[in-house]
Amino acid sequence: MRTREHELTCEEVARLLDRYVDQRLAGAVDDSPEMRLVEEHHQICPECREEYEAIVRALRNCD
Amino acid sequence: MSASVEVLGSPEWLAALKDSGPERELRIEELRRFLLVALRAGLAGNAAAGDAFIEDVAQDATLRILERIDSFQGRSRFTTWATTIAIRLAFTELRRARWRDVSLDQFLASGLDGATLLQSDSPETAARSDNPGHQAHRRGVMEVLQRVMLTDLTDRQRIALEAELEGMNQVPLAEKLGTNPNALYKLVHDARKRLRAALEREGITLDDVREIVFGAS
Repeated sequence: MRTREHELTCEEVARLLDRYVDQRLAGAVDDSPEMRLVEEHHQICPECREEYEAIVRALRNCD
Repeated sequence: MSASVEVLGSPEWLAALKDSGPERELRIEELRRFLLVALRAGLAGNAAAGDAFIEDVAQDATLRILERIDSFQGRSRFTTWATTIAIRLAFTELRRARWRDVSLDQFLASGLDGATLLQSDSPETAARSDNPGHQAHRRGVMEVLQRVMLTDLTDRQRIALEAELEGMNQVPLAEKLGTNPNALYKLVHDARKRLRAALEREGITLDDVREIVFGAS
């Protein structure tokens, strides 16, 4: 039910996701607007959050 | 036949993957095996993602990665980029399979359609509903919400919003509406904006609706 004027679509989040995942895995803090919007999107989109968590789980297992 | 994560995606390894030389087939097989391991870990606990499914997705993802290899810009590790493609492909297929045999009409008619959802009591709201003042307020908000959903949204906007509220995933919902996820996103986004404007015109905020419909405080 949330609607914001400045929010990313799932596809836009997908294009930034690999970079976002690497930063999170490295424990790096990127406070850029793009990364903040990905973070916000994950708070309201369970599907994208589910994908993000699976990617992190996969890479933690492989690293 | 297996390569370490450090080797996968190194400049030499990538060059061999892109090359047409004899090493290419070996690199492709290393990539596929890496994706198998990544998919098994990423989808662990998902009952719908059995061995055959994971094998198929690893194969399809390998092909997709090869098709897109020139678009890899090195903004992330190659293994992260490739895993992202594979996991997203897996979820797309899982969600598509889940809704494959369900028509949109059946879906909206069989369970909680939008009007039913809006009439339903969550346990939290039911517990608060002893107060007559709260009951009257809630009833008033519900009436307005149901009315503006009928009067201010197009049929497609209402259907998309209701289906999303009921939990249908984006890809299958887009396919059933004959559109794509980006266009669906805009459809729902516009529907929410219209709904918000209509509710505000009636003196109701989205927080009012959230509290009453979903029991959120």
